[in-house]
Amino acid sequence: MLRVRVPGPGTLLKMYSGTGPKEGFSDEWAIIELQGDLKSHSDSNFEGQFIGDLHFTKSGIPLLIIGHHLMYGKEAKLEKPFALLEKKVDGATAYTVKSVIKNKIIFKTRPKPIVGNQE
Amino acid sequence: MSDYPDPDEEFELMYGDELELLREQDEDYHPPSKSRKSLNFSTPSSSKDVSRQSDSNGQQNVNSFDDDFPLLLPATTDNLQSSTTLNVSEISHEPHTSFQVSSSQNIEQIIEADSSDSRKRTVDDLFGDINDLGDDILWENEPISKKPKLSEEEELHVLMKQIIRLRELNKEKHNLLSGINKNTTYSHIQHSKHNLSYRVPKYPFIGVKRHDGERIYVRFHSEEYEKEERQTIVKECSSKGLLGDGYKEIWKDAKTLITKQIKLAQEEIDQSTELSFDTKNDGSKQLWTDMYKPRKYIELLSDESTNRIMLKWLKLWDKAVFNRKPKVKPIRPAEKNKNWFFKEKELDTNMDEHGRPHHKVALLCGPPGLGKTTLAHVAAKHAGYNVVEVNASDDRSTEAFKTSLENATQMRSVVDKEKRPNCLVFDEIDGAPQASIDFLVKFISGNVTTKSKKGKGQKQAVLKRPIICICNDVYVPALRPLRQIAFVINFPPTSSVRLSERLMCISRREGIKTDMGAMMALAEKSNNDIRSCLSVLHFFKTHKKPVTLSDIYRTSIGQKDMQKGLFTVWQEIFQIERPKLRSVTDLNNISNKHTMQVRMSKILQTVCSFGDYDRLSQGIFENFPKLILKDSSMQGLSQAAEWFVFSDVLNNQIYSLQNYSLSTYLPYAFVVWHFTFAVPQSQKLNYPSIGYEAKQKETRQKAVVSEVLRGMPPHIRAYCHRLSLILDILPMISKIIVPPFRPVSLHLYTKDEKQGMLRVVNTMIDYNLNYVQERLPDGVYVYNLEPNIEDIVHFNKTSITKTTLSYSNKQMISREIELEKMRRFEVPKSAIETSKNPNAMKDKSSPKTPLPNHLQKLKARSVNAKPTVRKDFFGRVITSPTNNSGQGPTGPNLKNDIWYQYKEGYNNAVRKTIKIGNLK
Repeated sequence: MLRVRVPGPGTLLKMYSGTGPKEGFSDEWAIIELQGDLKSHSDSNFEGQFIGDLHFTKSGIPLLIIGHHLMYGKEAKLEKPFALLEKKVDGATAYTVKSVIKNKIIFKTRPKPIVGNQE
Repeated sequence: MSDYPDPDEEFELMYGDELELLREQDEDYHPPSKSRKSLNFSTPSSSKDVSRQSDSNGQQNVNSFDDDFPLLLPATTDNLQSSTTLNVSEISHEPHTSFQVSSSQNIEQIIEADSSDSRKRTVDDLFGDINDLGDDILWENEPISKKPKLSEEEELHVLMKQIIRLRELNKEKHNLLSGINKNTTYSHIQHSKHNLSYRVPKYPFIGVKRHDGERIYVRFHSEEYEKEERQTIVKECSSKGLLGDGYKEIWKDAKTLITKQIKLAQEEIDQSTELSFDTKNDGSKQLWTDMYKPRKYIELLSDESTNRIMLKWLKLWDKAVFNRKPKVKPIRPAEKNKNWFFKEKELDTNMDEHGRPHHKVALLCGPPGLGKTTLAHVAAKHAGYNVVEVNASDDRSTEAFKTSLENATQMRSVVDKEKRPNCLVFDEIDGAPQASIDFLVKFISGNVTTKSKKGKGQKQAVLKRPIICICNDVYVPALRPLRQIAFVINFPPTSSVRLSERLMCISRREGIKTDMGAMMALAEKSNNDIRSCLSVLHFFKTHKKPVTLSDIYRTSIGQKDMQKGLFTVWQEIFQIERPKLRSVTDLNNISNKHTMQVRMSKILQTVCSFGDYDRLSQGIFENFPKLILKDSSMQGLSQAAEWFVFSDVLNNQIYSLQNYSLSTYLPYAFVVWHFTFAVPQSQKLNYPSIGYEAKQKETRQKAVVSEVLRGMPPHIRAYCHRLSLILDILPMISKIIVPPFRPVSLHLYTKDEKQGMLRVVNTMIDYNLNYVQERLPDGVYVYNLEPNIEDIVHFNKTSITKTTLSYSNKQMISREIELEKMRRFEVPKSAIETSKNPNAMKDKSSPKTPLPNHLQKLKARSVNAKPTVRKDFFGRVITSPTNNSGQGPTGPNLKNDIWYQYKEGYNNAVRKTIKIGNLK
């Protein structure tokens, strides 16, 4: 299971694995594409906020849970890969490629509601 | 009899004593005592008749005189005084008047004889033995008695003459009438003796007055007695005629003559027709219809021209089938049979591009048993084809039909050595399903395409073989398409003469003794159905008796499966059949043929065999008022009408209670109708349609009424019975809803007029009436009442003399009705509202219009989650450590701050180019 957070300023969504044997961040980055908006109840800043849980079913279908919404998505290859750059301003600005993002996960289906149990 | 004494009775009274005396003396012999009569019969010597009478007189005289004579004298004297003249011929004593006359003559002669008894002796002396004359002598006396004043010599002279003449007469008579029974007349004398009296006899009697007023009493016999008497008389007298021979002998002679003639005729026929029947008589097993089937063209019994035209048509196929030129003779006008019964289509001898005749199929039609199938087979064989027959007993579904059609037309039998081409015969095609016939038609006209396997794809199948269709009724709807393309040959009935000749031939071969007349009768009786004739003959063969005319008439064969048409049956009921004079031997039949009984049984049989009593009686009921009947007193009509009622009652019982045993009585009504309505000439009849129309109208009007009822508001509907609605309410309503309106706009109406309008509108709504605009065929728009109760309340459209509203009025009313209906619809709804919340009723000023459902918003119910206070055993509150992290992984997702709003639709985001510089 991956926990998805909105990355901090200057960072993209970073995936980190919670299921792997060694819990921690992987070097791999991915884009999560949503058909819809993320909103906040409290109108607070999104930065660093917890969004939801990303699961993969046994057959490898991504499954995102945001609040009481459950969405099924799919992995897709980006037509043009993105490079993840890091800007360093040490005297002269330099960009270092942190990673090349080749895949994205698209959630475009209508989310299913999860009815929470009151008790 | 009158109360006061008439002359006879007076006489009776006057001479009562003497009469009494006489009666004592002579109980049984009265008539001679009357005596002294002048009889007014024809002069005796003139005819043979008289001579016979005289002959018998003598006999009687001899017998009767001995015992009666002594008594006669006093009586004679008595009656001479009264000088009565008895005109016996006046007494119409029952049927044998003639004998009466003769007997009365006898009476007279007796009397005369006795009065001139003395003279008899002188005559005896004169002529010697006059025994040979018998009693004729007595006749001589007549003139004497008539002219009693003549002198003795004259008398003798006349007497002599008389005797001579009578002798001659006698000679003649004895030659002719050798065997006349002399006892007969004697018995008649006795008869009259016992049956006539001047006095009141002891036996039952009828008084008869003579022309001169004398009263005679005639014995009154019982009917049986009379009958017996009559028979004995007939036996004795009439069997011998003037022919000198007994009737029976003459009959016998005649019969032998007839049989001789028949034999001669048979021999003639034998010589003339040499038929080549195969006569291997294992006969008993084989049906005669098969055995004596015509096997060659010349043996065909059916009409010659029909046969020829059939064969001609088959020969036209020669080009296509055998590839040889058909011999087509140009039809000379002389060949055309002008008096041909059916309008025969001329055979079209033109060929189409495939060398086939114009008509690809022949359609033979005619009643059963004429030999249609036989003709088809024989003709096809004659023309060199191998016959493939498909008939009613075969499977005739479209599939099977198709297969057989294709098999027959496109293949040829391998087994057949001669390799003849096929000719397809569809027997009884009128029974085939429509689809099959349609296929056949398509096939014939070449529209059917078959897939050929050789890769050419679609190939038109061309019919190369003749097809013959046979049907009984050419006007079956299914046959219509076929009829148009087929060469239709109507089969005329076989002539009875040909058929009976053939039957004679067969019966001779089979050793049945019969004659031509019987065979003619058989042929006629079976309507020239060869098959049924043959089976009848076959049946007779088993009896091993000669077949006579009466046998034929007695059999009821050949009548069983004759289905008569509806109109034929009606015609039979309405028409008295004229007697058909067939032959002299048939005379007996004719006399009974038209008695009521025969007519009755005929009608009964016809009607029973038809069976559909309902339709029959309907037809009679509708046709009889149009007939021309000679029934001025209308008695017959009323009787017939009663029978209509009777059959109606029966039908009602049968259909309502399923009491089918009553249907046995139904056909008898037809007999009564026949007797009442039948006339000798044929009547013009129409198919009954009134019953059907009435039924249609009934359903239509019922629908109207139920439509009216359906739309009524319940508070009116509750008091409306269907019947009372029709009878009481609707006729009135049709008038109520058309008050006089001014044809102006509603705004211009006065208050009263508006009120009136409102009433009309309300009434119409209450009874679910409205005006509906309709467009007439000529383009005019009208408003019609809907449902149209006018149909129900008026008997005759033409008799409607009522005010009708103008178009504009109707339009206005229609509009008002619609509006009023809507208003009514609104009212109950608001009423419901007000009843629901009485508060709203109070402040009417601001009526709270309820929001429509879809505009109402659901208010979420606030969930007040009570903070549960947990207490421990001692009542102290346990404060659990609260997890304030909020976004902890364990909590329910609902606690999450961020939520997701899905955007429906297609994701087609516009991509903008962003410069890296602008990113930050």
